[in-house]
Amino acid sequence: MTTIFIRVRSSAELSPVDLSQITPLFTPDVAGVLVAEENGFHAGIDTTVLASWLGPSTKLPVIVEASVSSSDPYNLARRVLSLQQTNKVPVALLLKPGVIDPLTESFQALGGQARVEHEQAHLWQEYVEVLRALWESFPLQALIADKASGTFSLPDLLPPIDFVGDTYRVAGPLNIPSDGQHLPEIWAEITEHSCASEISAAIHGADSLVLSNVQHLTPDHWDRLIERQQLGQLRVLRSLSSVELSTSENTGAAGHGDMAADAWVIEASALNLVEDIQRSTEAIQTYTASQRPKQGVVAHES
Amino acid sequence: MNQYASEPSLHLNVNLLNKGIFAGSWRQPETDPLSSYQVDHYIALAKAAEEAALDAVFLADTLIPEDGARFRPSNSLEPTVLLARLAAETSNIGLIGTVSTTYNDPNELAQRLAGLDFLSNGRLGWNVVTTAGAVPARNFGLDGELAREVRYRKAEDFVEQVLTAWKTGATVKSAQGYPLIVQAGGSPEGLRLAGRFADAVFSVAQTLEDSVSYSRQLEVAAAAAGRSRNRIANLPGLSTVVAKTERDARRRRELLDELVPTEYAVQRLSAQLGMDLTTIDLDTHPDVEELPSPEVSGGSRGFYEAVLNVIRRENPTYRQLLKHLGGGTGHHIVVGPPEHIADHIERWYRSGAVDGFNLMPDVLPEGFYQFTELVIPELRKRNLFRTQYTESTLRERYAVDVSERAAL
Repeated sequence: MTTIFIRVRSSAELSPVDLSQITPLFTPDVAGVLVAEENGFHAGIDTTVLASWLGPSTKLPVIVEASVSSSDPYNLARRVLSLQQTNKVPVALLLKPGVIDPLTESFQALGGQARVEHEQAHLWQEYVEVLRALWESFPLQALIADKASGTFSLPDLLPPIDFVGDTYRVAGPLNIPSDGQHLPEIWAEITEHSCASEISAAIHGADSLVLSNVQHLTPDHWDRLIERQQLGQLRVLRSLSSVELSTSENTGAAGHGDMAADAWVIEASALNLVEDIQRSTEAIQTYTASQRPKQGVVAHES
Repeated sequence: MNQYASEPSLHLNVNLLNKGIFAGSWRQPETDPLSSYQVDHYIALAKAAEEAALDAVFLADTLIPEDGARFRPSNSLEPTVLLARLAAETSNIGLIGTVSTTYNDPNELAQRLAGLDFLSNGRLGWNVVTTAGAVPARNFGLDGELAREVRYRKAEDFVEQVLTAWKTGATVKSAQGYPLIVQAGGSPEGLRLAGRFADAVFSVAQTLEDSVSYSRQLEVAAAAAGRSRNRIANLPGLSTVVAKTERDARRRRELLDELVPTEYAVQRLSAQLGMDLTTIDLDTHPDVEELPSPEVSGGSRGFYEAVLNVIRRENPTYRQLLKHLGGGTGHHIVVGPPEHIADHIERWYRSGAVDGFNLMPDVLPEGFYQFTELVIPELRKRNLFRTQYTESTLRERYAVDVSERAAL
């Protein structure tokens, strides 16, 4: 069976009724739902809020998309870990690179901190570091709730993370406990807008990588990507758009364009969910079949 | 006449303050001490509140593991994410969440709250707060807290920006247009904020006289902003300890007092008064003259005033004061059988100073179930509280002009 993730957009055109009707339609083939940000920042519904609202009806692992620009790392870390607790399913964050968020920027100015322009790839890396440190900063074991002695928690097990980076300074800890075994994953996406440094940061720093456009990947990028994938450190997902591109054009990296994908991300409009899933699944099957004789590479199956 | 068809009713919200308002709530023999870290705790409570036709559930928030975390549960799950889930699990109950104006971006929050309001079909309320303290500040790149004036100035600009985004269609529009605005601060700056923007306030009042006085201040603050107090619902916090008989209720309260770790109560009162009480003889009497002024106390102004009033009125020892405050809650605590609780609610409500209450049950969820099973029927018998929802949005529910209460 091919592993697929459905990407739905948090469109403002939909009503809550429309949205609630889409969720029972997810087929058994779907391994998770990727809740994408609607284009145009103010047009849509916050992805963590939407994913939480969809939680009781989808009961599927969920990946929420958010940008470095839209929220500071502490608040976003809290919402994503809260989502994992409320939905009781694995949760991942697809973090998009961007400029510094307004809150962090305003406090930098207030604190008289020198405003240093860091490239977005660097911001993204730092942001990811903060998130990961916060997510494991409150071990569940700290909550002992001993009624007899009146000791509820052990603050010694909750030391601050005291993160000090070039841009972010976050003391922590987060106020949401985690068992440390099931921390949210970080996903990244390579699009036609990704620059070389962002691609490197994503390959190095993400747990899962969505390839939506591969034209900017250098042979070196491919080598490192495949290396991490083979070591089991990186899951590689492809979108159909990236495949169509790589088969119809010479990507400059012969043989890499049709590398094995661990899973697929397909776009589905909320109102045509069933048709979209069916059409994309067929296209993926056609594509993988066409790859077998040519390369001898079989798509990872699960 | 009011344009809405709602029947006049006392407003009742329930504050889902993790395990309950008392510091020792989690140690009650019958309760699961860790339930408030689980979503199911809140889903069950929200469904019970909806079943009882309450106005709304209310979520407080704290951005960090709290100072007293060693002794009691802290707020944990982020309110907007949690309320989104509660929106999916319910269909009528209002959903009020606390979100800080100090540590958020107004454009981002306008969008997030509008989306949540949309998904809930117009049932969202936003409790506008500022965040004090150096510890939360350090999560956002600051070294220390922002001064109170700075925080409130920022809050006013913040709310104005959010309202502009909502009113100009920069965000999705819900069935009620945009969320209800709630405010919960008793300082002059908090009152000013409430006067300008609030549809409802969560106040602190130990006595009816405190509430009457607060109501007058609110009237002045509203008038200064060109608004009428009649459009702002005054909802003081009310801690409840309910049992079928007077004796059982008293016993329940005594047990709760015993369960408050003294070290915690002293720590919390120290923070509220801005003075170190850890070395003080608890059997001596606090001297009002020697307390730090509220300006330098650093804690919540509303709580400070409430504590001060208790000291002036009753001249308690520190130990009696701690007991009176139930481990430092600051809100009025009413203990008794349903008739007694209903008497209290009725007397305050009929005075015209308050429009309802923000209930703070002693233990969650059990104490709230006691309230809905025992007190709600008593309030209905007295024709004070609705029997069912007659409107679908939170704004409609709060739109009854409070001056119409004379018709009751």
